[in-house]
Parts: sequence; structure tokens; C-alpha cells
Amino acid sequence: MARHARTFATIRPEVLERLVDVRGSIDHTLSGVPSHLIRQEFDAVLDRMEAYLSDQDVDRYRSFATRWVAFRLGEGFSPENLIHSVVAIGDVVLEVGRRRLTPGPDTSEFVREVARMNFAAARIIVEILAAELETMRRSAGRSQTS
Amino acid sequence: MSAGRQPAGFQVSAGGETHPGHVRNKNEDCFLTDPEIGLYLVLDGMGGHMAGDVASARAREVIRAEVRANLRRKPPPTLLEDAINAGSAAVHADARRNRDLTGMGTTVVGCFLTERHAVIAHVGDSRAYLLHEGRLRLLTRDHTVVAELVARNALSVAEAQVHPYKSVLSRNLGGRPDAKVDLSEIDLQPGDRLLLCSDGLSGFASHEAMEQVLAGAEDAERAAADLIELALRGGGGDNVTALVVDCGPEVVAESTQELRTGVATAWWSRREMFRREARARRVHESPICAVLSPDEAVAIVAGNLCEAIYHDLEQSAGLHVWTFAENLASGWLDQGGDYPVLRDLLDRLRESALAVIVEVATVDARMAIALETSILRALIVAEMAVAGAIGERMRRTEELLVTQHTRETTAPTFADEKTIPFTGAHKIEPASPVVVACLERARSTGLAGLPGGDSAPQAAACIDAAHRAALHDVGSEHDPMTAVRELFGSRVMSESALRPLLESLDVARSEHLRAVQVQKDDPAIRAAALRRLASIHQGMMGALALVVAESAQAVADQFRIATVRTARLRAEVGRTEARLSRLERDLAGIVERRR
Amino acid sequence: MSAAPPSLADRVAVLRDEVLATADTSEREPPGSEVFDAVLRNLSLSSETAPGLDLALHDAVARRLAWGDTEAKVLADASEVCRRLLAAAQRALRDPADELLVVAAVAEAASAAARIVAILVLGRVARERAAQLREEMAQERLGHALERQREELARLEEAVARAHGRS
Repeated sequence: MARHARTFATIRPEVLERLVDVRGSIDHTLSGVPSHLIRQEFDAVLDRMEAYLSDQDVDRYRSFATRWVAFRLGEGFSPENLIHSVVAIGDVVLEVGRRRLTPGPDTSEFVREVARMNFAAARIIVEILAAELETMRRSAGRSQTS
Repeated sequence: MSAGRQPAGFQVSAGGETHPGHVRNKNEDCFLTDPEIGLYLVLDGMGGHMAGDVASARAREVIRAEVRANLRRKPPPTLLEDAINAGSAAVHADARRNRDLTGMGTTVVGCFLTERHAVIAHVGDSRAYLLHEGRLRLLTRDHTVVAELVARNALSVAEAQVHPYKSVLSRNLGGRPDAKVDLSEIDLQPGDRLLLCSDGLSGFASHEAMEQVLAGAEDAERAAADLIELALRGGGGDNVTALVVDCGPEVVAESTQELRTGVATAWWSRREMFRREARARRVHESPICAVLSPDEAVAIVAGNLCEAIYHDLEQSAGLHVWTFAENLASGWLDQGGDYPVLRDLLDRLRESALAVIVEVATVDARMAIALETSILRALIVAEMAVAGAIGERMRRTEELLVTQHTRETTAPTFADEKTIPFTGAHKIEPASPVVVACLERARSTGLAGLPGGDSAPQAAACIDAAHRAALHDVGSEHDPMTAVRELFGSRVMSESALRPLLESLDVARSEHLRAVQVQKDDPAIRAAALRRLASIHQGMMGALALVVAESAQAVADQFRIATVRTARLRAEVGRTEARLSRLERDLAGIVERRR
Repeated sequence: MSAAPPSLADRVAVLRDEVLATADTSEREPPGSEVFDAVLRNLSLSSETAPGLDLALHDAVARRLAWGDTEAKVLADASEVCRRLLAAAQRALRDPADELLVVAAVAEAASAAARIVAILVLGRVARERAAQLREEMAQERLGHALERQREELARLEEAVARAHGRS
């Protein structure tokens, strides 16, 4: 797994630049945010991705995602926007990987590994949102019966 | 669908559709496709007395005529800007000439295509988007007051989302002769898709759902129809219009196309295997399939997913899987079902697909990797659709919580606040005896003319209060402000409590002033009496509005305190996350050095 | 053929510059202009027409409040414009019968503006209370996020300390 993390590290600078370029497509509210701030945010996410590719530690990934979702929901982002952002970042990694890496079995395996990671990320986001919905429904149920 | 002429340098096709929505009686939106000159417009009319449709239609025709007339004479940006200004002037002039059209106006968003290049112009909150390589980007900034304030850093994005006046327009066609048009230009690539739409679409469909629909539709006409359907499913609370312009077919590398077709074929040729695997993983035992027989469950649930994946693999889109997953999730959650059951079913289906991939790998490892990558992409789309369904229920539950909260908390009352000085108080001379006499007769006439009903006693009290104030100096115990507070006492801050008070004041003013006008006195005397009373009556209404506004201040203060606290928490979370990132890097560095 | 004499609304319209503060306010109309325009509309209505909700006035007032003007300012501007208009009309109109109509139209417009302000304020109150609840929900989420961060921070600091100890 570490080799996929190393491959990721080689394309990471270009991924970051591409993310900054297309930030309006990832989340239209990011268009007006200064590049250096966006760079920091995306860098933190890429840190997490590289760590996951290295150690496949789902719990740490989930821990980061939980904080990230809470933070974004607290800022008023919609659930759809959250998962769209995560998936869009993963798609950019795939796009850059396909373009920059030499075609061959290693690259195909790397692309598949990134796809597995993207699915895991999307699934984690959905689980967190489902837990949030459950909490809200319990609150609403308590209010109705009190 | 209209096919384009070829100034654009590639084949252009467009499709547009409009719908009144589920709430409005009339459709005040309209659109234009004029491929001969490369002009495409969407307009959203507004105005009193249902004249919005007049405004949008008038502006559309004037803009088209202007562009046609000046096609060879002006550069494209100037051409479009001048045409839109002409439209605004026409609507403005019509509104001034005809009182039935007073206040009418319209938004507009348009694009003018030339040689792989588009000029985008807009006024108002109708929007333009570009779908490029599967990603949807907003090209315009809404001309709403809050958007302008955000652009000037007078409001944050978060504040704008909850601003009470967030949909108030700052610009439209017709309010003035000239319109202050925003212009931008973009280069287009083959495969790009432009969307022009009214806020009836962007207000009722998420950005992500619009992206999926646009990316998946086979042509512009289908895309427009699907977008309308999306908005209607989202509530359809406004007129909705979508106009899609396709810029030629996407150029796909032959090798990529071959792989795409190969992956789709590899999947489809193993559809029976997928269904067998789904049965082996007991998909039919999921509570979601409780009403189906085992064969039906496999055929419908697994079979539909299999077909959806195939179509999406073929088209390199996500619409079919999205629709499958959204229907599955929405149906289950609306029945009161919980997410773990849904997740379990999706996992069984995913494992069934992975079993197919393992089989493919025994024959062709390269194809298996490509297939798994594509299937995972399709399953990610399914997760996005499920997230959308959950998000929709989160919003509904949030609305429910808000309603419960506002019902439970004690609404502020607006007579508990301090006295506000009478607005616009100005000295008036004591009334002359003839004016006093006129006022006395007007009082009696006004009281006699009051309609019956619940508001009559209050309206009578208003007339008496105004009469007393008219006979005495301002600042005395007969101050209208004091009268307002006495008359209306303590009221809950709600529209249902306020409306009877407003009606009483309106009726009282109307009858009292009419009563002055019908007196037999000399017009100059009636005018003097009327000036006196009119000033007092409008002061009473103004005083009531001020009391309401000041009482609302407490709510505004509490909200402001809450936003400050949220911002502080947000900042602390951000700082802590940065510390965590640094620590993780430190730790990774130590581990790496030790290696 | 001679031109029709100007209507009362037309004769009052020429008082615009005198009554309004017409200094350049970029894309914004002069303060109180919404009430002046409402007066002209009221004067243009025939006696057979039942005046309904003045949507143009409603939109104009909503726009002013959205731009950040306080309710008190909107009402004060309306009151000042009405005062000036009444004074100007008294001076400019020869016929007291015309003045009666103008006074009635001014009272109607000013009262309509105040009523609109009151209703808009109530709408704002309802939305702010709902928004406050959303803020409180966001605070709860952020609080949970902070708790998890602190747990993770403690774990990482311990891991780093151990790693330093070993190296």
C-alpha cells in the first residue's frame, strides 16, 4: 500500500494546483476565496488521502471526516455539497493520475486504489450524515412528545 | 430541438422548456432560441397585477429585434449589452404608459454564440452555467441585494444564506430605462453544455443534482425536460425555465471509447452472474424487499441496478444509477426505514458486483481493474444519491425542529418596549375655530361610516384618538404614539396578531379622511383639516411600525450573539484542525526518518 | 388640436426634484422616493379602481431594508418626503380640491409604507428565530467536532512523545 502513497505523492503538487484551478466546480462558494486559503484546505484533505493510501486506517479517516463534516455543516453547507466536494476532489486525483502517470499495470492499479479510497470516503460521509439525521429525528421526536 | 447555424465553429443544438410550477397560476417566464443568429435567452418576469409575463415577452422581442438589426455593426459584447438595455427601456416605458403594468419588470440571462466563443449577459437572478468535462460551473453572480453585499464584504456567505431579504433583487429590466448588464465571455470546447435558467430551477434543485442530470442527458432537449422535472420534484414553488445549448459532440479518444464499450460489454455479458450472486447474498431477505418475492426482489432490485450500471458505463454518465439509488433511498426512508438497512442492501449488491469482477480477473486482469474502477465510480454515484435523500430528510427534520422551537418559545410582545418618540413629529398650530368645527363634524361622519365587524370598535377608537390629537398640540397627553400604545396593548409578535390592528388603522384613516372631504365647508378649510388629520393618521401607522421594529430588535440581538458564538467555535475548530495536521506531519516525519 | 391638460399626477410629478434629495446615490434611488412614486400611482388611480397591495412600493421598501437601511430610517425618510410634498403641493396647486386629493394620496402612501415595514419586520423576526435555532444546531455539531479533535490531539501528542522518546 505504501507504494500507492508514494505514487500519490509524486502527483500531489499537480493535483493541488488543479484543485485550486477548478475550485469553483468543486464548490461554487470557493470561487471568491483567496487561493492561499483554499490551498491550505485542500492540502489538509490531500494529507488525509495520502495517509489513507499508506495505512488503510479507516478509523482515522472516519475521525477526520467526522470533524470535517461537522465543521462544514456548521458553516451552512448542504449534505449534497459535502459529498459532492469529497467526490470531486477524488475525481481530480483520478484525472491527474491518468494524465500524468505512464500507462501500464502500475498506473491501472493506482487508479483502482484511488477509486476504492474515493468510495470509502463517500460511504463514510453518508454514514456520518445518516447518524446526524438520526440525532435530529430523535430531537424532533422528543420535542413532539414533551 | 433547434439545430444551430455554424458561426459557432461546431454543431450547436439547443432545447428549452418552461413550466408554471406547482404553486403559481401563471407562467411569467419565457425563453428564446434563435440559432440563426446564435442568440439564446431566458427571462423571468415579475410585477404587480400579473404583468410579469408582459414584461418578459416584451423584453424578449425587443432584445431579439435589436440583435438582429445590429448583428454586423457591433462587437458581440456591445451588441448584447445594448440589446438588453433596449429591452429594459421598452419595459420601463410600457410600465409608465399603462397603469395596469405599473411595477412590471423582468430578469434576463442570455448568451450569444460566435466561433466557439460565448458572450454571457445577465440582469437579475436568472443564471448561466457551463458543464465542462462533467463538472458544472456557475458563470453568473445573482443580482440580489445580499449577493451585492457579500461581494463588497459587507456580509459573509453564511450570513447571506440566512438573510431575511436574500431573494430581493438589486437589478432588473424595467425598473429603470437602462439595466446595468453584467457581461462575461468564455471559450467553448466540443462536448460543453451551457445552461440558462430561471431561479425556479436553481432555487428548487441542488447544484449536484443539476450536474448529474446535465451530464447524463443524451441531448439538449432531454436535458431541459429532465431539469424541469427535477425542479418540480424539488417542490416546484415557482415558474421554472431551462434552456440547454450543446456545443457539438464530445471528442473521445478511440482507445478510451473502446475501453468504455469493452467495460460495459464485460459487465452486461455477466448480468446473470450478478443476479445469481445477489440471490446468494440474500438480497431478497432485506426488509426493503419485504413486499417482493425472492425472484421479484432479485429481478427488480438487482436487475435494475445491473441495467443502470450498464447504461452509465456505456455513456460514461451517472444518471441511471443516481435515479435507481435515489428512488431506493427515498422510498425506504419515507416509510420510516433506517439507514443501516439501506446500507446493508447496498453492500450486498456491491459484493455481488465485486464477485463478478473477481470472475473477470480470471480471464482478463486488465479488464477486471478497469471494470472495478468503473463500477466503484457508479457506486459512488449511488452514495451521492443516498446522501441527497438523507440531506432532503435532514432539511425536513430541521424545518420541523424550527417550527417546534418557534411554537414553544415565548414570542416577544411589542408593547413591553420603551416609548419611541413620535416619528416626524412637527409642530402644528392650534386649529382655528372653523377648522375645529369641520373636524368635529368629520369625526361624527367618520364614526358613522365605519363598517361593522370585529374591527369596528378599534377603528372607532383610532378615529377618536386622531381627533383628540388634531385638536391639541403634539407632545400633549393626546400624542398619537401614546394612543397607539394604549389602543393596542400587549400583542404577540406575529402576523395574525398584527393584521387586525393594521386593518383598524387603515379603515379608520380611510373613513376619517373621506369624512373630511365630504363636508360642506370651503375647500381651503377642508384642506387644512385634512392636512392635520392625515399627518396624525400616518404618524399612528408609522408609530406602530416603529414599535414592532424595536421589539424585533431583541430577536435580532439574540441571533447576532448566536452567530458570533458560532463563528468563534468555527475558528477554534479550524485552529485545532491545523494543529492536528501539523502533529500528524511531525509524527509521519519521525516514522519516516526511523525507517 | 390642443394637447390634453396635464393630470394631477403629472403636476405633482414635476415637484420631484424639489421634494427628494436627488444627490447621486449610485444604483440606489433617493431616500423616500418609493413613497413619492407611490403617491403618484395613487393619484393616477381612478375612483373606480380599488387600490390593492402596491407591489412596487413593497419591493422598493424591501430593497431599502435589504440594503441595510433601518426601519426607523425608512419611516423617517417617508415622513420627511411626505412633509415636503405636502408643503410643495400647498404652494404649487391653486385649487384646494386638488390639494385635498394630494393630501389623501400622501396619507395613503405613507401609511402603506409603514404597514409594509411592519409586515416585513415580522417576516424578518420569524426568519431570525428560525436561523437562531440553526445556529444553535451548528454550535452543537461544532462542539462535537471539537471534542473529537481534542481526543485525537491527546492521542497524537502522546504518540509523538513516545516516538521522540524512542528515537
